[in-house]
Amino acid sequence: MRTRASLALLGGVLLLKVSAAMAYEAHTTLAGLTERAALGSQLHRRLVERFHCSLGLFEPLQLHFPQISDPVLARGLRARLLTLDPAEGYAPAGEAWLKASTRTTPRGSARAPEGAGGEFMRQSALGWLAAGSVLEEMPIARSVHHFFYPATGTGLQRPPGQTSTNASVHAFRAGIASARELLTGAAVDGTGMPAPQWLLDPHNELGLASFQRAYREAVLGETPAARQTALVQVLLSTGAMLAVLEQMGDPIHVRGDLERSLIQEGGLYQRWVSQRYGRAGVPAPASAGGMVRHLSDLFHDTAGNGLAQLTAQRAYPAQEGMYAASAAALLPLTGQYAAKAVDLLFRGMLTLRVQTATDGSQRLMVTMAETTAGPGTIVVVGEDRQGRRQKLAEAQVTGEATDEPLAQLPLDRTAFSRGELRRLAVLYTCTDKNGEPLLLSAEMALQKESDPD
Amino acid sequence: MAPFPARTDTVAPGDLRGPFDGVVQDQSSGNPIATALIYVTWAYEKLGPLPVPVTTITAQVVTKSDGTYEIPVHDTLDQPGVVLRKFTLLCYKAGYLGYRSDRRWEDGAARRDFAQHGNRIRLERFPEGESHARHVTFLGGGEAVRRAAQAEVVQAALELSEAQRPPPPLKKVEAPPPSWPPAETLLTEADVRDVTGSKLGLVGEPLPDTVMGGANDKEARGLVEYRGVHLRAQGKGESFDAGLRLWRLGSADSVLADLRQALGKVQEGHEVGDVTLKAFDSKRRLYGVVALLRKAGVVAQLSCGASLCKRDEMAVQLLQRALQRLPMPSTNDERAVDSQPPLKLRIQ
Repeated sequence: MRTRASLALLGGVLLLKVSAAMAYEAHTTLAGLTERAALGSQLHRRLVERFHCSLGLFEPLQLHFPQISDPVLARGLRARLLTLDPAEGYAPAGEAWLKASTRTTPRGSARAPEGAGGEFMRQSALGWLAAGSVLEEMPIARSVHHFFYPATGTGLQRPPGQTSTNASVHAFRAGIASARELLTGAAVDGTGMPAPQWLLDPHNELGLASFQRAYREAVLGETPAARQTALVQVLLSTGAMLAVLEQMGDPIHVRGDLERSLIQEGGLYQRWVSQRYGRAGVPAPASAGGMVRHLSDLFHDTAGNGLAQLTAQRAYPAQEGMYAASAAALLPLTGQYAAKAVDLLFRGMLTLRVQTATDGSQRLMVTMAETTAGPGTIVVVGEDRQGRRQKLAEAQVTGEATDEPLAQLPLDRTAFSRGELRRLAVLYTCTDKNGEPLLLSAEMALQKESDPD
Repeated sequence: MAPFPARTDTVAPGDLRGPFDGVVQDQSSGNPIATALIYVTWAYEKLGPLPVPVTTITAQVVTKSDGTYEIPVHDTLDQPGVVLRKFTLLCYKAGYLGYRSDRRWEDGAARRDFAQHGNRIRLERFPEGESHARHVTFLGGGEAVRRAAQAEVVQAALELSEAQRPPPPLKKVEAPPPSWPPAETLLTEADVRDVTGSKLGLVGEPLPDTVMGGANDKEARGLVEYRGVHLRAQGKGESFDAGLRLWRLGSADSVLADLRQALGKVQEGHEVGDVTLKAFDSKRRLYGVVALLRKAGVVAQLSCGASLCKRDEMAVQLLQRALQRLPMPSTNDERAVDSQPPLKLRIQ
């Protein structure tokens, strides 16, 4: 019979392992959930409307590593992307591979992964989104922040009797932490942030703050390479946040009796889901339903309709005979919430119109639809024939409802007056009436895109 | 150990390294399918308590004229602590449902009938009405697959655009245009003195519409409003006068055409509104300026004697002043919104 101390140690090791091996598998289940959610959301339309991506979710987008300001982040991102399996459709191809003339290799296989070589990688928007979901579980230590117990509002906690030192040592022995991390005290200590809080943590390079920073750059960035890299980062962050939310559809991640569940079950349900559905067979999301007011509402809300709450209410799939029914219920529900998250992050629409007054002066009329907003800032940039953008106008906007459009901005900058600009783009940064951050953008062509330079 | 058998007639496990061979056939006819893309990946992971993906190596061939394919044995990576974990084969031919060695399209379940040698891939014609977006996503694959499926990717994008089309806006509501002010307030003696520097006394009187032929003509052109004012210099000839005519019409271009013809030799520009016509009648010593404001349906004509307006720019300025006093109509787009109407904000 196991003593309490050994149970604690066993539970500690299992706790640390659970997020890696016994949660929904990132490279199959989470990636598949994210893909199905994206297809069922409005993201395709938003990419077309907001970023001039004519193929929407299937638009090829390039991540230019020199454009990432933090070289450590860039190196880490490239290393993680190189580990992705191209068979699953979310591994990007590298510049060197794209430029190679010969593809067919009948006499043997290639020696380098497709993503290797060059200064950029390319993948479809949907592929980047799915990649973000997989990257959220890399390195494994990130997954300690993917827990949330709705009854207490807490995240992953150490089992009784286990110290942080014990947990760190076991993390090292389990291969979750490196010797360097153990020695510097950075090793996993058996605790984690509640999952909703992890999305908001400024140290989470794939969280909401990163999403917002990248979104601004995707509109206001000076060069096409900077903007496209930023758009990729928007999608990677979105995919990563979806993965955290999707783990709320995994019973292990939302229960307070974690230790008992682990010792009894060891995550067999999650492994069964991966084997049964893989990535390509994940079922479609349930129909979307209404929009939520806050991102946190998707995790938990006062009415008990957060994904973590709904998952926790279900009987834990303790036996193999329960796996199919649990998956049939939880996977579509999880996909539904993931689609809602996408639609919340990309809600609203701006429309642009240039109006010419009788005296020849021109103004940009900006109107908004499909959502409500509060005070914020509108920035207008113009894009020249070389694709370079410069700021043309900026205005502070209040939250008063009038009969006027959202903004009427004079366009009297020289480049605009001389007709040197090909496109206009607008970024609206604000908080909505629910206090939730909101980023809206739109673009419009000023002349035929095919006009000769 | 590979999760697939060495051959279709045995349960002995195959070898992840290969070699692999098989044939691709049309499901219905059984005919071989040539030039189908066969795309394969070998995925490696690092040994340890927890599996950590390390890298993936890929290769591709196309099927021969008899539909067969051969993938040579893979030279495994020689890295300590790294093992070959998984092999995946994809087959794609445009116009057919794609094939994955690990998963079935029909129900998303794991495939159990893939074999290392003598593998038989039966491709089904792409069913009408099936989702290209869903299919492309199911297929996965790297760059080679994306290129082979490029046409289908475009179809997938179109399919999503159609499915996610925003609700059509409600019919555009044209606010009734505000009435124009009296003619004498549109062009005044003060305006003329300010622009031309003249100190002459001017008397304003209505200027009838002699451009429109009659009631039928007005109806045909959809006349909404007309204003005309003649500023006559006291004790002086016509070359010291100025006149203004304004029409709001349904078919403003037709009136513009008439006026262009009447003016004769014109200089065309964009100083005022969408089109500006300028002319000089040397016989009568009159400058004439006509402007079209197409969206508002407004045509404006200003005549100014050369003794009053020393240059055509002065006539243009007088016309601009008059037009600035006209209230222009506005349109309200009412877009169908699921929950709440659009919020309109005021600039601080």
